[in-house]
Amino acid sequence: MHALRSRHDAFPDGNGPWLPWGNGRSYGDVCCNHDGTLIEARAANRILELDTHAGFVRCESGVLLADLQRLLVRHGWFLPVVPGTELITVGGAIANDVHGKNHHGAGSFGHHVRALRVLRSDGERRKCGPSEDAERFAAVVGGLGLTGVITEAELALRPLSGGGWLRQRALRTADLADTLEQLAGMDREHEYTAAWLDCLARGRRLGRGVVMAADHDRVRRPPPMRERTLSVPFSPPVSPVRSWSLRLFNEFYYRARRRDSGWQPCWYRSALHPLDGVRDWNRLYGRGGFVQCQVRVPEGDHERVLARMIEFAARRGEGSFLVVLKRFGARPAAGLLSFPRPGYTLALDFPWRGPATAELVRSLYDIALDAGGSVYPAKDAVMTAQQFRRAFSDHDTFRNWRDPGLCSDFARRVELT
Amino acid sequence: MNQRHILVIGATSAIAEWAARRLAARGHSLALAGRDRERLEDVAADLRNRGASHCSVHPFNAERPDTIPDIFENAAGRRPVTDVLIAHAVPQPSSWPGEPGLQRYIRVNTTSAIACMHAAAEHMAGHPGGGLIAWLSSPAALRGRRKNWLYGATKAAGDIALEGIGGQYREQGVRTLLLRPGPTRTAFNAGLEPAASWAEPQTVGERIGDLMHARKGGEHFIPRAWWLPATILRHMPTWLLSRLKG
Repeated sequence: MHALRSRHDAFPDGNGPWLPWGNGRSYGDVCCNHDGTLIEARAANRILELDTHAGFVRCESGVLLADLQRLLVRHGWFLPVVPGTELITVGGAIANDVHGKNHHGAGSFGHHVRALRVLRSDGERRKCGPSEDAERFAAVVGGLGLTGVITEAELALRPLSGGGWLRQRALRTADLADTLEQLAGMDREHEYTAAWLDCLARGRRLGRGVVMAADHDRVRRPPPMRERTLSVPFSPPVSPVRSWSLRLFNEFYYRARRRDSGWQPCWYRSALHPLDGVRDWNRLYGRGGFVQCQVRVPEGDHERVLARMIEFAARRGEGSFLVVLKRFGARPAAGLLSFPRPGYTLALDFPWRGPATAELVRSLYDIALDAGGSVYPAKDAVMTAQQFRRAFSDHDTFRNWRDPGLCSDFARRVELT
Repeated sequence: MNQRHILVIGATSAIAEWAARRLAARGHSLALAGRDRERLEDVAADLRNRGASHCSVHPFNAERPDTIPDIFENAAGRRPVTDVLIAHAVPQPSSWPGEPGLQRYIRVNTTSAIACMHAAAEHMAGHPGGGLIAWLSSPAALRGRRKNWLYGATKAAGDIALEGIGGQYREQGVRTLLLRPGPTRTAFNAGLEPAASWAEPQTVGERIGDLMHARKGGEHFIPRAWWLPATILRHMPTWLLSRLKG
């Protein structure tokens, strides 16, 4: 591992292939490089310019979103897009063009990058943005770190009228049609929306769940005195995530909710990043870990396709306690390989039980791809090269922008070399 | 005196930077000394954005200990320096550096550090709010071990000097803080294979920032749990220590 200590550092000498590495929170192998060396960018973490009047920030790429957000909230600003975890770097957020619960209104992370700088393996430094060298910019955003090391970025911010508090509401839904209808309805009025699904419910109840909506609260309140953090201290030798324990959890989680929770105040970290409150939560899946299947299904026939996917997973008796459904807005993708595009995205995680799990996830991918959908590379660990080509029609254009000195396990697997 | 003026020497090192961020968030004003002006400017911009009331940069070459009094003079342009963190060091060379290399190594790690302590004590002595000298030492300074005795020796000399200076300037209100961070994931340790037990520079730096903000004196292991292995190491008989690998 080579540490990039600042944006001024030169590209490391020696044999590649190299791969820029942020905080290693991608679920799959886009952040792995077993045949080469990682360039760890966490130490390049300076906030170079913060304009609290115009609302933008310029920083090095190793800054964690958590670190940045804490500072911004103090100044009455907010990152316009935050994913489910804020324990990722700005560079990683751009390279994976992450999205949040507000995609329907705000688009993805890449839509708010005003400019960025990349360091190529030949030592060249390039600046690009939506209005400067825009083609390169489209390749770097969502470019999975394969187009050069992002060294700094300038991000537009969103003003807060109150503080870091949100008001949140949860609605219980009866089936998939109800969930989709509530989700679309909430999207029209609220900034953040997403749905949790009971993936093991079948028959009439298929696709039932809880739709959550949240907005920034205008009321000023002091921030919480203490934020509770739980932690999973070790990986149990046997995964406690089993079909019976899931069924129990899902039933309880679903029934413990009221039909309509009403509006509740919620600090931004617990509303938007609930999993960050449980350190090492992934250990719950046992030593084998888990894989996630996150796909996008275009609008139109989505209800039938989503139902097929949920049923397919439920029939195998496999599933996760976190199944998330979210509607993407109509905004065109920011990058060539950006995952967020119009449609619905469904994420399911499965405890890893070897090749059978890989086969299950690939079959689910196929259902989405047959419907004209795509797969999220940042979460993927099993996609085949053929599936990748089907998911991303711009893969050939992207190849022209690739940095030959950089590669990842993911790129080798899907033959993006 | 609530808002203090803190000089950080070796400010581009990861631990010092996180300590400075913690102090900046408390609204203190900072002066940064380090080798590379370009990087210092970035660190200074970062600290201003994180809340430092003022932040100036002072390029400094640790091979020239004679320039240290000037650093204090320049850093104290607007107001006297009330606290200093001495955090510059070079890791143990991988092979014997030879006589000129050895002199240079000791000049950077020991001579310039002791000169900083002395200059700081002289500068702060008699100030109404007193002063604090924080010295980033190492558990390596506790005993001579086969893998890092040279580094340990340069740091141990600093420890003794700090202790003595603390005594000499006690009546003039100067306090001393001896910091011993355990292994940390920083560029300083880039040559070693990191273990899961290694601390993050953020954790270590923020603790240092908190200790400095609270004007704590004495010796501190970071994380605290290092106190136990360090105490065992400190009292280990030489015949056993010399047989320890690593």
